[in-house]
Amino acid sequence: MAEAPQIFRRIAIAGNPNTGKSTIFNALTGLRQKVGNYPGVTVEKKTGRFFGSHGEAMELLDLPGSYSLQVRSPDEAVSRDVLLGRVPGTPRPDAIIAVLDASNLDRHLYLVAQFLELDIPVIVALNMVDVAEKRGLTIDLLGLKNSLGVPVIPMVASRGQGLIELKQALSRATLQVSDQRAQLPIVLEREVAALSRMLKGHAGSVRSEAMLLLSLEDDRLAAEAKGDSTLLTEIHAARERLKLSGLDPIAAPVDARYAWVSEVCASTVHRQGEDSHGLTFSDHIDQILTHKLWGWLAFVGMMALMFVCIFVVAQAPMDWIRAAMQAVAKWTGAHLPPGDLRSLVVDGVIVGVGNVVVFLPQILILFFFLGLLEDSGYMARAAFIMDRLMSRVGLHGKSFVPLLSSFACAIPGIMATRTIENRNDRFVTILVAPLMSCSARLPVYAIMIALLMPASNVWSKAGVMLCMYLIGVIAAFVMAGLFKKTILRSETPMLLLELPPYRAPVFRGIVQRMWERAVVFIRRAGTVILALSVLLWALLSFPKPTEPDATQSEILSHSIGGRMGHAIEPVIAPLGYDWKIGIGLVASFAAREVFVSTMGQIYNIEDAKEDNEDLRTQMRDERRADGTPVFTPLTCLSIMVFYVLAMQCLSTVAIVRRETNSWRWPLFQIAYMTALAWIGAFVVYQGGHLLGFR
Amino acid sequence: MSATVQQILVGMAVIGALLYLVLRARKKKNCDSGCGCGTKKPLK
Repeated sequence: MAEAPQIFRRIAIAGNPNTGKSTIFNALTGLRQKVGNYPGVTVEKKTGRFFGSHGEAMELLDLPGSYSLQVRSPDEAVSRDVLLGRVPGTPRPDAIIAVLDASNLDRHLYLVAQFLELDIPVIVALNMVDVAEKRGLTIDLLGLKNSLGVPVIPMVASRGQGLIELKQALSRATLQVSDQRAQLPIVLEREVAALSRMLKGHAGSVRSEAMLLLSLEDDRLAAEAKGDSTLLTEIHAARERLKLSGLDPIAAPVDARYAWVSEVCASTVHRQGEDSHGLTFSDHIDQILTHKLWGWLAFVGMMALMFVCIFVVAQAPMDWIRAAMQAVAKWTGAHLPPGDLRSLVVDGVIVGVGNVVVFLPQILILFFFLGLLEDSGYMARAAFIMDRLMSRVGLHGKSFVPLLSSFACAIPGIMATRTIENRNDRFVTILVAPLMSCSARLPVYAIMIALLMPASNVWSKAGVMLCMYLIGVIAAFVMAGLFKKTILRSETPMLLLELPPYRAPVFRGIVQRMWERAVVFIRRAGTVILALSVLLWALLSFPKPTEPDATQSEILSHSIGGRMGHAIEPVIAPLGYDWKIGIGLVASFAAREVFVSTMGQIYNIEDAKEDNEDLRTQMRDERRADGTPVFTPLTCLSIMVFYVLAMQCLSTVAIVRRETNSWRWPLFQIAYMTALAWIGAFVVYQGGHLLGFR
Repeated sequence: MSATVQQILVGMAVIGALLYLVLRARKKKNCDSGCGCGTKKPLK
């Protein structure tokens, strides 16, 4: 059997995720790969062999993708530990191939800055140079090589370009450790040197080890120091000294590296379309849209415009759907004999489903705008300005996307929290995500605003709707802050956000997404809402009173639904609601939009008229026993605030149960949100009364 | 249509709706059927 050739060099291939590391690994090693596991963790260890330009055997280790050596996940910990020579059975590599995405150099060079501090020779594989070129980027390769002090190989790994040059670079007799690196503040350098002396005898780079220990967060430091109390005391003392000299031991090296990276990029990367200050068209727009004051004004202005369009543009199609629904109800009513069957079809099915379907145009316009904002690249800017506010309450920057998705529906929002590594941060986001106003709340807001201000102009109506959305956002932030300080404590990491250039939205894609939403909405109206409407009709119609001459109002009051409404009336009376609204609240526990269909059913069954009146008119005409209107402006506001803050969605409960793997959290969520909704509605109604409003 | 036929039809509709909701809740659902969000990924 042939003896395995002696390994000339052990090389690690590392870089950010999705830079083409595995493509280069596969291209170099071919089928000579071995897959195993690192000891103690379920992270895959992939090694392979290849031969250099002169036939020398090399071992290549494919490290998991990581953004920095400041680890956040087990994968990143493995990359860091291998490079520091801490993993038993895996010798410290002789060189690192740092794979960079040439089109995102400014972001990916941070990791290289950390590699250069490791005292291991680095070779930069500058992958995807074709993409960078297409994006109008010109990279000064010689300048980059000089700035980094390491060989830089331009590559298009997917087409095998640059592989020969990479092999040649790896086959050199000696590989130099670069003398270029980010300049750390002198005080920090001094502490690193002192700590390095303590770590003498350590297998890997003592300087890197010292740097790492100094910049670790407290909870991780205890684990990394492995109970060495002398070392821990020295690290804490060094940190105190750094703090006294005005340096944050965690942020200072990060800032220094970023400053170095932007210096390198400024001198080596040029963008087409940049002006004399190196600013692109996107940068100019961002100066306004991410500005501390103008950014917020632009954000609020855009949201207000969106709601105005929701009211103005949706008006005509909503009237058509309403007219069609009334025509169908009238025709069906005329062709069916009077009795329970007619009541079921007209008051239950047509009114129940129709009153929800009416809101389809508004929901589609909402999604049109969300699609427009997302495709144009504005959403990333919104995340940026919101992050300032979010970090103030301790919310993780990664919480923004889940919270934003929750404006459409809390379910994809809650699923999107899986990207948040810290359990406590993730649970806080899950707990507050349903406070963001989802599209199912739109029908409730719209009908209440129509009752609240029938004659007002669209700007006022849009203003009220915007306020409802803002109340949800503020409540979410306040509750998140509260949870972070009490039941789900954790430190808040920084947000690293890439702002993509602005693009013209692709309308075809947006229209396609709107169509998908419409199909989902109609399907839901035809299945779940239809079934719930039939059941609600039954609950509102049976049992019938024994007296044969009972009025429709007595029949409703005598029904199971009516009794439920009466039962909860004492609890909801302080909020300004009567027992009929109570039925709506109970019925809409399954899904918020059922509130509108229930109210439609209640007033239709009660009126028992041949012609199906508009729900808004029926609600406006509704009177209490003393003759005063039920839906006063204050009651309408109170109902809206209740729906902003209440859970009222069984699908969300189910998904929270699944995502947290316990009933404890969804039950807690229902309890706190219902309590919050009751208190919010109580404050609005009773506070308004005290101030003299009605 | 006689009153009895009407009552049978109403009864069938109510039981049908109830059965639909119960069976739907028991079935492992994809997100696109529960909330109106349109997400197609299965919830694992």
